[in-house]
Amino acid sequence: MMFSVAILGVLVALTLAVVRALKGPTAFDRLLAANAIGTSAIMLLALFGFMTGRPEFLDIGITYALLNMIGTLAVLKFFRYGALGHAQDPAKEREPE
Amino acid sequence: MISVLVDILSWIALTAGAAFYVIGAVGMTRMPDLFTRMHSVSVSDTMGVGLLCFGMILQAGPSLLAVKIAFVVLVLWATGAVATHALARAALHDGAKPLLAAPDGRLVPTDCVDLFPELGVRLAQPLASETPEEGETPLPDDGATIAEPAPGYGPAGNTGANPDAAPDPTREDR
Amino acid sequence: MEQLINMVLLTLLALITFGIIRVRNLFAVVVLTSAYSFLMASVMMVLDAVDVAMTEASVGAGISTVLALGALYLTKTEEAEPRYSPLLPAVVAGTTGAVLIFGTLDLPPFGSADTPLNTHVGADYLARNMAETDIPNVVTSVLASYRGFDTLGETTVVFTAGIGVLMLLKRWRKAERRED
Repeated sequence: MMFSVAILGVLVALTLAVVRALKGPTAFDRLLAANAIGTSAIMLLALFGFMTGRPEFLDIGITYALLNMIGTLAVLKFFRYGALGHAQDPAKEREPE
Repeated sequence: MISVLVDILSWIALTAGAAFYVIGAVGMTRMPDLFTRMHSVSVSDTMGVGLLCFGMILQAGPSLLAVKIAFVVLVLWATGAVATHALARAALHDGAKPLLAAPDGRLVPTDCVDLFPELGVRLAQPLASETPEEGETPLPDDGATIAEPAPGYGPAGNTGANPDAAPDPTREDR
Repeated sequence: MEQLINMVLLTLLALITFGIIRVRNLFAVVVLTSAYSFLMASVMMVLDAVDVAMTEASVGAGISTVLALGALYLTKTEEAEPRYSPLLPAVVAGTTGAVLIFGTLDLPPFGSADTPLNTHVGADYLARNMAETDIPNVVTSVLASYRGFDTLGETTVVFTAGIGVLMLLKRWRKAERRED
């Protein structure tokens, strides 16, 4: 019962996050919302596991958390440097080859 | 007896956690710009997640499961902070300007160089050339305005300087 | 409760799909796709398909995002305006969807016990599983033990494909730099 209440809250939050992801004027707003959606998915997963009495699914929650982080950071790195991992700024570009 | 107590505690934690979670999400849809939205998401990312997981830990009891949930919380707290920081940095680098209240109450996009001159060297693109001159004046100015009202002069003499300590540089700008 | 969760999640999935179609900025599309993957993984989770949820999250939200960004690096970030009217593709997609929905009418009800799926081999595996492999999740034991070589082959194929994509992206990048 208590998990149902918490799940309801998380579902409401998930809906609001999706609204922001669809509305978001900039890509950063969408990214923020996507991050929140990932967090909500993790909480939903954990709470759902507890509600159905099989909380072993939590291992997957940890993986989701790490993946969510990777996705967000990949997109942000892209914004910052124009590529994944290489400084693409022409001013800073050095040619090691 | 103890189990009832634990149940009540986890009821409180889960309900409060869900409330924090919803509050953060409402803020994310209602706030006016990116930075305020990030600010409100941090509510659900720290208090919401923390309380929800605290409730679940109480229900799990002393077991491997509780350790796993604690691990989830730690990972979420750490990654949330890092992701938020990276998001703000990328947004500033991209030229996003935070909305700030002007003296007359309107929300105006403000270059953060105006607010934090010491950051200007790294973050600002448009005002980068002007920051060295401007960057030195506001800092002692701020120190003076903060130091003056403290001894307890009436608001009448200082209203011009003190409440506008933050928007002051923006006024110079426009 | 489970039905409510499913309904909410599926509605949100539909909304995000429309968003993906409508948005022209490709960064936004990548971000929305990653959010879509997390929602889809949650749906799989609620449907009790843990392994599929795992795959969906790691492939959809993890590697796909990175690969799509790598591809975006080579192209423009704004989607071009369509040159042809989307009427014919819409008709094709609509027809295919209708046929698929028509096909589901013949399926047995969700989770019923007297389907061919649950009466022939499945029951056998369910009976032998615990004694032979000692893995409580039958899907996992079938994937990793009974058809372990098949899974190994799949993994090799996916790994090779990943290496191929990485090499392609790398070569493009180098060629571009040399032109400069």
